[in-house]
Amino acid sequence: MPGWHALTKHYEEQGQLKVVGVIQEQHSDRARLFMQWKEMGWPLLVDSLNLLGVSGAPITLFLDEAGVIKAINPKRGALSEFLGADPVGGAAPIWSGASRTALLAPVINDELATADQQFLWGGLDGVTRAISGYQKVLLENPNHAEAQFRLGVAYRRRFDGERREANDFSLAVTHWGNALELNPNQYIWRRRIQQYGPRLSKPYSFYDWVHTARLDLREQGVEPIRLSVEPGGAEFAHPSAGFEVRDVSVENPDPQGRIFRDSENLIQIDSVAVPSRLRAGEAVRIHLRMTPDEKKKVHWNNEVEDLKLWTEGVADWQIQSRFHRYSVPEQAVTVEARTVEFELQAPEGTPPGIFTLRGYALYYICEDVGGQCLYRRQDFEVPIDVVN
Amino acid sequence: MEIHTKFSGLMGRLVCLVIISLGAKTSAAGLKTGELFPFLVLPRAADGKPDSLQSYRGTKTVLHVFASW
Repeated sequence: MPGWHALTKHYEEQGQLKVVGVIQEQHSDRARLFMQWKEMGWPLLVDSLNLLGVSGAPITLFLDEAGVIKAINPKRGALSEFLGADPVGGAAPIWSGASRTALLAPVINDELATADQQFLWGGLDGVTRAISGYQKVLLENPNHAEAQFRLGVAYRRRFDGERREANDFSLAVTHWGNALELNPNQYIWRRRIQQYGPRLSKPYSFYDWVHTARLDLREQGVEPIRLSVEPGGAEFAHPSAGFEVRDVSVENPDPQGRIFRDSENLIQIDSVAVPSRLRAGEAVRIHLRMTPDEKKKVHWNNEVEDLKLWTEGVADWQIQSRFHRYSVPEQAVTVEARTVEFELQAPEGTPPGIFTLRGYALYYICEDVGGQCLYRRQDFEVPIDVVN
Repeated sequence: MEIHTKFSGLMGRLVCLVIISLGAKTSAAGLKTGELFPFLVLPRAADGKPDSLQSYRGTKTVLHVFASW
């Protein structure tokens, strides 16, 4: 991409050429940060649902003045010939607003298309309406692979926003899995699961560039575009800096279970296993998300010590680490959602069935309603589905 | 449940076979040289406003379908 940019920049400035980008990523602000870093100022359109239907990226297209595709994945050397070609029908047409409106093709009016438009333009309510729409499509035809993928995208979008509902992320992963099973050659879909899933045998550096981009931009005195969701886990080819895995010999911090339980769920723990179904010999990535209860005005108390997390593991499965520590922020009091991720591997020969990962978190919180600061333990269970 | 899983797996293989037998450029499925780029209105990353490739007609365009990963 940067190579193309260096080549087209001049023609773009001269008004001879327009450069446009389309991305299928779940979080578009990451692509914006990439473009800010690479000083690529052209318009970027967001196609998280993959309405364009591409099964991989990158793809470069030459479009003529009329919007006709002249070349797919051309060599860079072909640009001058493309620019030299006569415009369609002589001079380039000048479009007024009215004529542009006339170009609007009739939109296919069915459940799927309606759900797509709700997702794109309906704001937070639209995402929930899109979820219902895709569900209706799948009720009629569970093998509608596109609807499966788009439903996953919509669930994940809602998970990242203020209207998050229980299981949104886990449902996203399930539907992405269904879509990929229906069409295993869809690379865009495969990447969605991989980015949240276990480290690949050959780790893929989805977002390792983010760190360098931020450093470079700050060095130039430019404030990097803020990301709504920080990349983490398998999105980096190396362990993420936000979560430190300590000495594996650390012992269970509360073996007798003497710490008082958070019986009121002042902290809500959501768990997701990615992929949602695995086979013997495969790995699974566990995402745990801990959120203070907003209604009870609960906040983290950061003045004591780090949040600790202990897991029992599953039978003879390999586990990255049983003990995890979430380093608390510098501010005395915060309300952020805290995520902890780690991986397990089912040994060869694991029979199909539901396996349960048990563990608990230890944390310091304060609640404004009762005015108390507490040290609490919360136990959790994560079901892991092993299939044939 | 098991039957459904097996059926889905078979469907997946069928889809795969169809794609291979057509010899299609799988990465740019649906996009063909000589045809109009599909009509698609999408949000601009910068401000969320609707935009489409149609609004750039009249000018030659290089379109990059890409990912920052």
